[in-house]
Amino acid sequence: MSVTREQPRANDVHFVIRPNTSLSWRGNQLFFAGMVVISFGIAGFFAAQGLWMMLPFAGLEMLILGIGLYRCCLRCGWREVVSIDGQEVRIAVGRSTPERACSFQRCWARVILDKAAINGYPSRLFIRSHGLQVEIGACLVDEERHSLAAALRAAL
Amino acid sequence: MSAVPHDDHHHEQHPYWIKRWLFTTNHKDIGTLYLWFAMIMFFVGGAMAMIIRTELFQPGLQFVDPQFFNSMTTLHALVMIFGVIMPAFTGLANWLVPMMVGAPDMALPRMNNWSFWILPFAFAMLLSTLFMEGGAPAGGWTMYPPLSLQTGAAFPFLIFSIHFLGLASIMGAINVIATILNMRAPGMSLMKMPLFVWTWLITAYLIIAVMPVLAGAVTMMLTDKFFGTSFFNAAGGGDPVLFQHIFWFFGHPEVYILILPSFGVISSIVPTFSRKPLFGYSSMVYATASIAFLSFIVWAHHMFTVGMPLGGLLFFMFATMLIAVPTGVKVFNWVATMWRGSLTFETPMLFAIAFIVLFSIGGFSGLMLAIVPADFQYQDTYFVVAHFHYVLVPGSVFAILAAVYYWLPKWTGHMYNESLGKWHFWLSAIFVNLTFFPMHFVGLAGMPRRIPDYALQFADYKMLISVGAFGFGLAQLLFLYIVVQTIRGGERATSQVWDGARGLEWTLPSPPPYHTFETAPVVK
Repeated sequence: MSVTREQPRANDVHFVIRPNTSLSWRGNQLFFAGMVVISFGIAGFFAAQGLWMMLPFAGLEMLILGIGLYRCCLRCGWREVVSIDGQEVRIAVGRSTPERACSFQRCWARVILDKAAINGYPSRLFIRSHGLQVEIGACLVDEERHSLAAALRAAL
Repeated sequence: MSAVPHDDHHHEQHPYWIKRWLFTTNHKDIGTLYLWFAMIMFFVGGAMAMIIRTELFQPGLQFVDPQFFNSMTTLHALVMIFGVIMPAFTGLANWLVPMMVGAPDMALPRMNNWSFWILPFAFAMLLSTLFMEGGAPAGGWTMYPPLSLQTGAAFPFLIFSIHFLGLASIMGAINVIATILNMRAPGMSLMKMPLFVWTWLITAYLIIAVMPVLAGAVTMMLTDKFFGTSFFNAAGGGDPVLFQHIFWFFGHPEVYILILPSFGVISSIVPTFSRKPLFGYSSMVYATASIAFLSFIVWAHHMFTVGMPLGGLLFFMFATMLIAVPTGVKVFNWVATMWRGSLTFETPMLFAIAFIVLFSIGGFSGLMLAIVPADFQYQDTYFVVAHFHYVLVPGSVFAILAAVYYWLPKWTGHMYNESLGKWHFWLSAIFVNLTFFPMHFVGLAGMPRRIPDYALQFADYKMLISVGAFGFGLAQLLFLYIVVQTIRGGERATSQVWDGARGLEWTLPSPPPYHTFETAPVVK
């Protein structure tokens, strides 16, 4: 997981929060390609001996593997973007395009960092205003969440 | 987006009773289901072994007819391989892999649920063949045609149950791979992963590589029987020996699918009770990968007697012998880890040490079988039965028992009864040797496998073997009692449980909360 800070203009700042990914999209593609080569290599070898029925099973298996890895990558491609522009704090959540978004007035928005009531459970970070709150940074570790809270407070 | 109420107690929320177990997507619940399923099937497969040993207690035909005896040997193998060892290791993977890599759950939780629930249906289908016209499959777990094509109404049920078991294994393997590759905690590079995770990653890769071969092979047999094809029918231009080749192309890696996770378990337990880090971590990883690679090029050592060219015999003989090198690296590293360690001998460590010693015996007899001229003598004798049972019982099964004792306090929050655990170990260790060691002698003396009757010369050893088997079976009832007793209560376990234990799973409370590592830990 990571938090990237971008500052397009002097008074504006964007925070991009990403979940942890231990293997990149490219890495998943390479792994999948390797498995396809091995699986179809074996099935192809036997098909060449006349035992062609392994090919559909190899195909089916690679299909399931591909779907599984793709779904993992989709989950890992999740982003939370907190944009503080002019008078507005905008929070967008999605992958390549925002799927959900909301905004608060910058002057009223507050950054709330709730420590967990039970020891060992994670803290939670909210942006709150006018009775509404939005949780951000749930995918971060405590240390990163604390840093993000400090950075957001400074930016607001 | 709307207002979000703050609730710290959502971590323990889960459905109750039937809904919890039927629809669960939680890795711990599914791990528990797998482990209980394996336990039940262990007693089902064990009961079949008891029938076999009862019949073999004395020469002559006493209790069952030869057809049923052959059904018992066939089903015993299928149940123990696909119903006990593989599900038990998948259960361990479900419980432990996410906790060891710092992930909140398996990568594909719904698929995880499916892959478990396919198993009971597949085994219900397989075991229902006992009540079918023509009896249960009796041609051996290898299902060689044309013998297995003589199976009665049970044949298609056998094939479809194999398909379902394969499907469950594949889905489990995909889940393990997706979890390990994509969901490791920050800082946990591949070479920082616990050995159990590494061995499971390689096992999952093996499963994915070979399962389509088995699926294709059994489907071709099905079409030979019902749709007039001749893949393995010599009369139609097919080749029954080709089935043996493809079966063992699957079957030999399958042996490593059954044993590699054991190596991971032993590599976790030995350092803990030696109070030293594992000796040669990197070499263990490379040795595991080498064993996996070599497993693809040694299959024909299971069929030296079919009439292969001399070049083929030599290649497969030397390739098989080569496996002793990485396996030797592993055994050396375990022994080196124990060397000058601060050893204590709790039950998991006893099972781990027994594993190292007895698995090595199985490995050595494997080397003997790899020698082509010797194999011509040993082929299809009890020597082979002794060999693979030494690999799978004091090998895989002991590793599973060691794993259960090692992680049971973590899973249940209670310490098991150490005295009873030690009783269980010593009874198991004594009886397992009483059962399988004399099989070497009767095998070398020429006793063929899968035969319900035998010559008088084998009577004494056969009786001894049966006594050992009954003793081993009874000892496992003690194990069931210990597990149930530990679940029901006992001394509270600390989060670390064992003072030498290292790894992320030991940082969690015992028992761990229903949801763990929702915030990823950072591995330094």
